[in-house]
Amino acid sequence: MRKYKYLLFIGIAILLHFKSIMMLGQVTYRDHMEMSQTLKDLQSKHSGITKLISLTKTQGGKDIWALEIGKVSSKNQPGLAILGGVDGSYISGPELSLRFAEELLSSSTTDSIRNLLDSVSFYIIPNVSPDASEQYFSDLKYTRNKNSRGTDDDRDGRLNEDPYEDLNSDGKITSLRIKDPKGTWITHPDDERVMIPADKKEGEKGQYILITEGFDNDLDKNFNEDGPGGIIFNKNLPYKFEHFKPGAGDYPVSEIETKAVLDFLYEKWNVFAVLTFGPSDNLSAPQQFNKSDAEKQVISSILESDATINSFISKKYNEISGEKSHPETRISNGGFMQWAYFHYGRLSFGTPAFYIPEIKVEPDTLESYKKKKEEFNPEVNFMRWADSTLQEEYFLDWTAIQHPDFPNHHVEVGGLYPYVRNNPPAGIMDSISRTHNEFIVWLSAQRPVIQIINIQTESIGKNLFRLDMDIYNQGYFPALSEIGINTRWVKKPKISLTLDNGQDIISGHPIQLLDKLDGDSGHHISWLIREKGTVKVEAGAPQMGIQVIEVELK
Amino acid sequence: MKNKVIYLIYTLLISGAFLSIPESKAQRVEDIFKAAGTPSNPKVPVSWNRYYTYDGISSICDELVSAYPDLISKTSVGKSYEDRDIWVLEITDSKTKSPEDKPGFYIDGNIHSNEIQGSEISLYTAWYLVESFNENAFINSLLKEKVFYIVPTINPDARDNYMKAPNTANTPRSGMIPFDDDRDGLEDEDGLDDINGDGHVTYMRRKNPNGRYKIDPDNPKWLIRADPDEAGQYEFLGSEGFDNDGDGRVNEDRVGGYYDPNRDWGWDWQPDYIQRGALKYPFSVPENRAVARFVMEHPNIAGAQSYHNSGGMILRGPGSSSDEISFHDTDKSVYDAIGKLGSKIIPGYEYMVLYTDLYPAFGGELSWFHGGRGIFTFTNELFTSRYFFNKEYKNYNERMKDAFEFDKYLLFEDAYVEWTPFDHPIYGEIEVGGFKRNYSRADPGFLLESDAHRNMAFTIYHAYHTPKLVVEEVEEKDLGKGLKEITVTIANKRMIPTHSGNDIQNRINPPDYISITGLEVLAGMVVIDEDLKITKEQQYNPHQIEVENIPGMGVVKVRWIVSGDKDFSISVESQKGGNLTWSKKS
Repeated sequence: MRKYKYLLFIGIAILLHFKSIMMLGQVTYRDHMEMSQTLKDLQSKHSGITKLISLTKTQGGKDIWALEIGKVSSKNQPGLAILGGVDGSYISGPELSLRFAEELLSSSTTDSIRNLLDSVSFYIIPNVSPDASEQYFSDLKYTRNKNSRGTDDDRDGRLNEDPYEDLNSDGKITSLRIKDPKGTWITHPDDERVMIPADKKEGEKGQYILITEGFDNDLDKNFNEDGPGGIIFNKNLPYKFEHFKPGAGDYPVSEIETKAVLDFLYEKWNVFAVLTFGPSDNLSAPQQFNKSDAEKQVISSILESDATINSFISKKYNEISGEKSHPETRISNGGFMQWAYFHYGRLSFGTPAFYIPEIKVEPDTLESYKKKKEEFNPEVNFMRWADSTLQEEYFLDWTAIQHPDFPNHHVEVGGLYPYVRNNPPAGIMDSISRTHNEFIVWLSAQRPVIQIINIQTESIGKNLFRLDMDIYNQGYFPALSEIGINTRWVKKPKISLTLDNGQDIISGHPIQLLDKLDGDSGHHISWLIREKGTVKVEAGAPQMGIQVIEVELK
Repeated sequence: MKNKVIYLIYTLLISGAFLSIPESKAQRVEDIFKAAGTPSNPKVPVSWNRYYTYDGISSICDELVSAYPDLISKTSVGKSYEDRDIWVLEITDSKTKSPEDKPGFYIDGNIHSNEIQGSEISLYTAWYLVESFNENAFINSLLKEKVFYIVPTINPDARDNYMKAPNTANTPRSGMIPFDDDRDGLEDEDGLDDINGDGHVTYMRRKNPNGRYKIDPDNPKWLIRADPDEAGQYEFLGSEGFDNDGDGRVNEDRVGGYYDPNRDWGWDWQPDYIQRGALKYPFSVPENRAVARFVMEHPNIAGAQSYHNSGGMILRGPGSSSDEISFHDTDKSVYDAIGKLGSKIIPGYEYMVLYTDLYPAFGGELSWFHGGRGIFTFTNELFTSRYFFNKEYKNYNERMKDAFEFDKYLLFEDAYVEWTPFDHPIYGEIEVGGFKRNYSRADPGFLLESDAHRNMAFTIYHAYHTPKLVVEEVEEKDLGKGLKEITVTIANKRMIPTHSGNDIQNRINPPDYISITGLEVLAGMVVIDEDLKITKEQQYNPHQIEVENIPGMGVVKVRWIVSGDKDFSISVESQKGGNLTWSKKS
């Protein structure tokens, strides 16, 4: 396995760090049953500040859990929603969500976390794809993100008729490569284990057909295109929903788990931001504002002031979690992170949490090495990183087999094992979890916070009083994201004045709504009131808290 | 004992209302002379010149079911937000073939709760079909070939609210889910009020020398704008109401509020800041979600109709320019043929394309039926002011003038409430008056049956043209050495194909299967061109040939190479075209 020995320029400290953690023999990922038990235990141990709800059960009979942490009865405490498992093959998402809950609750007796939980609620939905992620724990491992609904992925009128087959009986679905002049794939010149498409621009000619491991059960010339399941949570949402694509669903929000999660969130008016663990990424690199896409009728660019916020949050994310090699904004159509921004109207952030560091090689120092491809290839980079870092198996060397669909062909089974590219090995989880927990706590501190300031009263004679104040947002985040200003699914900050007996308003409104209230900005308000007495002013919105003050006019 | 007597009286009353032929002489069978085209002696007499509440609709449905158990059944597709059953009537001759083997036609009304007459028109269709089955040969064979699924009201909660609570002709429109229209944290806290308690929500106006309205000199019942250089007499204060929540605004957050069940469907859907009226996500209106599930579970539905009001329109999609891609030319020609016939048989109704001729709308019901399910679908906007005096109106004032005259000469001012003074807590001395809610959008009683019949006739024409598949020809050719070639021609005798263009492109429904049984099949193929001998072999399951479509007024041919000389059967399975079998008997 270690036949490629590159000289590494990666920070040696980090490497040693990873190694040392792995030595501890950490627990691996937890399956649905273990997660459910952990959640129940957390809830019973911290019953005063937690609430555990099963939002629904999937077709596979698994609960979609939501763990609420904070002042569980408060509807007006800013909330941060955290989702894992939007893509069931990113099994680290559920683990990171759960680890955040565990660490937060285990520190809930410290002053800082107790104060935090007095002013922020966390809604943790660790795994929205339990049917899919369970594949990791089953005897046959393959990268799965589909739920248990029987579907006709290739729309040929037959359900699940062409699944994978484990041809070499190693319990994992990898790839097949078939030597064939018609093929469009070649091996990477820098690492022959890695297959890449032949590049016509370079005059390359394909030598291999590359498919997933299995047979063409329905003789339609496609391999394994309609296996067990199902609908992919991260394709079932209505923002840029892709009709009729495999895994999308018959219509947006067709699945009970999607509907249950959305219904839950729509009831939580106090959510000010959403963090998603999964394939979508606007944290290693922020989403960019695109004026023409933002001005179209169907808006498809993050709006300008929200992009500014995204950019700052991304910068802090990289500071806290470590610089990334080749950071890249990644979004997926029908995906959850985009939905939370474009339709739910909340600031929305996402990360896969696991990034492979770039392994640089020094050509001169190695005789056998000659760099043939200039451009960065993430898979080659992964192999270099894995060769020098991983202790567990991550690659199956290409091995010849017989395949009835390709008689008289040289067929090999091999390639990367499922899950290894997108999920950190168990040993690294600790450090990833620690930095992400730190980031989440920092993120929650950016919430919008109502504060009534500069309160002034003035008697202008004849029992007339002027009452002045500023409604101020002392947080970094706005009360409404720019996209949220125009959707009815985010509440506007509301200011209401209640008078004492015998008082009446000469000028000003008893109830006012603010269309926006940005971070670190205020809105001036005043009333003319007749007669002495104590008035009550209530200001705020669920996502920024509500403050009530009493002012005596005398 | 007392209860029993009351129950007896009650049942007599109920049956008197709906079932038994009343004793009155004029209604004895021998005293009736049939008018052409209408069931003359219906088992279930229904007055088609008035409107029915949800309970009224439900009991008419029940009467039809008990009168014609072999033709009609009633089931619930699901519950409304307020837990009412959403009824669907399944209508077909159940003694010939089971319903799921026949092409289906879906009809609903009242998705906009204030647009009520779609329910009566749907119900009239159900009534007409079953009452005509035994006396009209065309309807008889239609119910042998097709199945109708009729949902008289798709929005039962708010239908009742429209009729029973303070509303105008334009409200509620939505369903009854509480909704915070003004985003102040409260739901439905400031709706319309019948401020003077006369049973109607009309308009408020106030005398004001600086107002910009004046009494129309030709028609003192209503206000028109003063000329630009002329002093006005009145200001207009909107529909009757108070400022119930004390926020300084009147009627800004009414019951149900502004969400639109017809912006809720899972095709070409956009959120509320792009498409006003959209709710949370597609099918977040529970009534629609139930109907969508019903449609998914009845893939035989090949044509559909939804009823709205008003304006006299026969609308097809697309709802937006972005959805133009799902309307292929072959589909458009079918729509055109049906739509143009419609505008002929419903004089005053115009055949139009929704987004170009009316307005763009994302997430409409007809968009999902067409784009998401491949079902040919129209929406009719019922009632038109052309019904007043058979005139086209160039402007609003002209039309309103005739609306008053129509009310005066034909309805004897039944639709109008005289302006009366009222002391309003905010506005002070005002006047309240104007048209009642049942005028301007809903058909007046005497026109309702006529509008119902013409629109039904349009849907029957549409339903008639859902696919009708026949095994047209079976040719056998001896190839020698025990081999035989069997070529089968399947024809579709109607205009609508088994798969719309969008359906073929996206494989929404499975292909049509043409199978042979009884013989050993060595190979199977689709014959693409008989004369040029172009065929396409199918290796997988050759006994069951898959064809992507059987076009309207067209044919497909399939061929098998078989061995043996036994009897055999051909079967056709088409979700939208129906299932049939043909057998060779030697």
